Amino acid sequence: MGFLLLGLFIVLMLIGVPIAFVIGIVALLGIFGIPYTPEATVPMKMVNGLDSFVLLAVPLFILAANLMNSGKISEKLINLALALVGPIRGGLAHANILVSMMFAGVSGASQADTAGVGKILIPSMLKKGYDKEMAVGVTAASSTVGVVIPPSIPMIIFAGLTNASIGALFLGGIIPGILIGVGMMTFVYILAVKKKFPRSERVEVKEFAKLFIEAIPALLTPIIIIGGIITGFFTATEAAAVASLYTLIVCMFYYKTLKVKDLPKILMDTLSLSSLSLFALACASALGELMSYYQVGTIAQEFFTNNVGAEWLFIVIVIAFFLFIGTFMDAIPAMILFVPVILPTALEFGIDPVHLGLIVVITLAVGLITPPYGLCLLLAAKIGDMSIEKSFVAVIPYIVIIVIVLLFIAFFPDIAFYIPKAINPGLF
Amino acid sequence: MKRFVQALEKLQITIGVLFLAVFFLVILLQIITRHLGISILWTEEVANYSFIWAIFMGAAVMVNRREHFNFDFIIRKLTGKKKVSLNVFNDLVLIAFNVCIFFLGLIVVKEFWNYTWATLPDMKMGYIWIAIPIMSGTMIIYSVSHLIHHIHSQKAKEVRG
Repeated sequence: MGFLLLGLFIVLMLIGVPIAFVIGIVALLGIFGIPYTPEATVPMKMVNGLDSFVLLAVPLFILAANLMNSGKISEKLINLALALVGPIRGGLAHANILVSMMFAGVSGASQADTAGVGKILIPSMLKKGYDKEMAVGVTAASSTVGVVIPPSIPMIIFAGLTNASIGALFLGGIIPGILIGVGMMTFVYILAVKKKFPRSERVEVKEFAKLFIEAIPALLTPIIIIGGIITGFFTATEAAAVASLYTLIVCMFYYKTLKVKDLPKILMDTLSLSSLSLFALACASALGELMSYYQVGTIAQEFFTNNVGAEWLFIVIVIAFFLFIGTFMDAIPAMILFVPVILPTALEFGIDPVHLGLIVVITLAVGLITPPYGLCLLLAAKIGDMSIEKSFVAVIPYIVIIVIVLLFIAFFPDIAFYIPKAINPGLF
Repeated sequence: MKRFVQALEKLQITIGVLFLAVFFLVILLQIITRHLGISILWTEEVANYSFIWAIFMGAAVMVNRREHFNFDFIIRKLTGKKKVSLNVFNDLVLIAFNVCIFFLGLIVVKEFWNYTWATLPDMKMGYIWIAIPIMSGTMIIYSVSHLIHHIHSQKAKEVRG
């Protein structure tokens, strides 16, 4: 039965049925096959899967990011980043990475970063003589830090699934995120020297101060969000609502870049983007029910303990598996389906859930730039008018950088745990 | 048909956006009241249920806009009649799935209609469950309109060819 369903899954997926529905169909047929289980379990599970307060953070963080783009906060961050790193060779590319890291501190979603930053920086990079590969590659790849540097939607979902501390995961993401950013900047620098990419002019101190002061309200957002969550002032979901409200107020009354009439479109875009992955999640929770009926988690645990004795090998398998799944599935449904499968084994190997969370989230971040379904890659390719194949080739070096950082975090977790342990040792 | 589908889509996304606004505001209310020391029990439940409605309405609209991610490399390689047949088949798969979800959803609605919300006893669970048949029902309408479109475009080609 299991293999039949797996086969059906693959066939339906290949002929072009939307993945979310493939998941739902397999769940439905699987539950038809189980005696004494009412078929109405499927729609009930779809609702139950969404009935969790944590998930409300998803659309709210996307809303915050969309508000930032429409309210031109992204532009202010770009100007600041350019003033900071522009004078280095390959300045625009460095700024692209730096602004993604700043953006990551506000938004838990990466796609909004690709869209907002890409629309501005890809054209200006091309104008200044950068090649398309560089412009599209760096824009797509740097967006991945969005889910690694807190706040992060996948981290919130992971915490919800495993009861790992959201605060610890968030703080644990800071160092890996910075490492990925710095790694990419190093690569860009080497390439820029070789290909003689231009640098921007140095900005005078007075001008710099002005840009910095302009960006302060935007830069305060991460402090409010992360601070609020860690001190227990509000939950992750509430933090997402606060981030949206704060961005809205700053844009409407301080920068005066947003008007009430802009809001319906922003809300519509937010709903569109979030309903895609959350509908997939609803279907995935129905399939998850089927998988737990067949005790896939226990089977996996037995398999791993009997055949894979070593912790390091298990971690490598987890990374390889999520890299593969991430190529065609959104991070949220992927975690709903497979985190419960690997969690018992991870616990048996003595892997801390926070550690596992960092591994899974960073691995799935790579999925944002791997085809066929890498949202950030697709977006950047569209903005730069380049084929998906060529864009993928352009991001490969960056993927290598992310994977190197990932392996470091996987095998030397203390690097990532430094900040959460320093701030609150009680989190572990 | 086309105008009806457009109007339906507009209505549905508006409903979705309104629910999105509701849960956004309710969560803000929850933070404010908690820090003022006023206890309102229903905020989380209202927020959760509005969220479910918003996502289901959004998901249905995304069917009409064909935004749900699918692999298209086989479809892209095919041409002419074969391509249309596969598109039609895929539409039929979606319709079949949604017909099942629609009727199963109705069973759930009937069974649990009179259960009440934990924090607001005047509200019935039926108001939540009914989002399922509404979602799958509208998904059926959108898929049927795609199906008709695919068949029409094939016929138009044959006439021209």
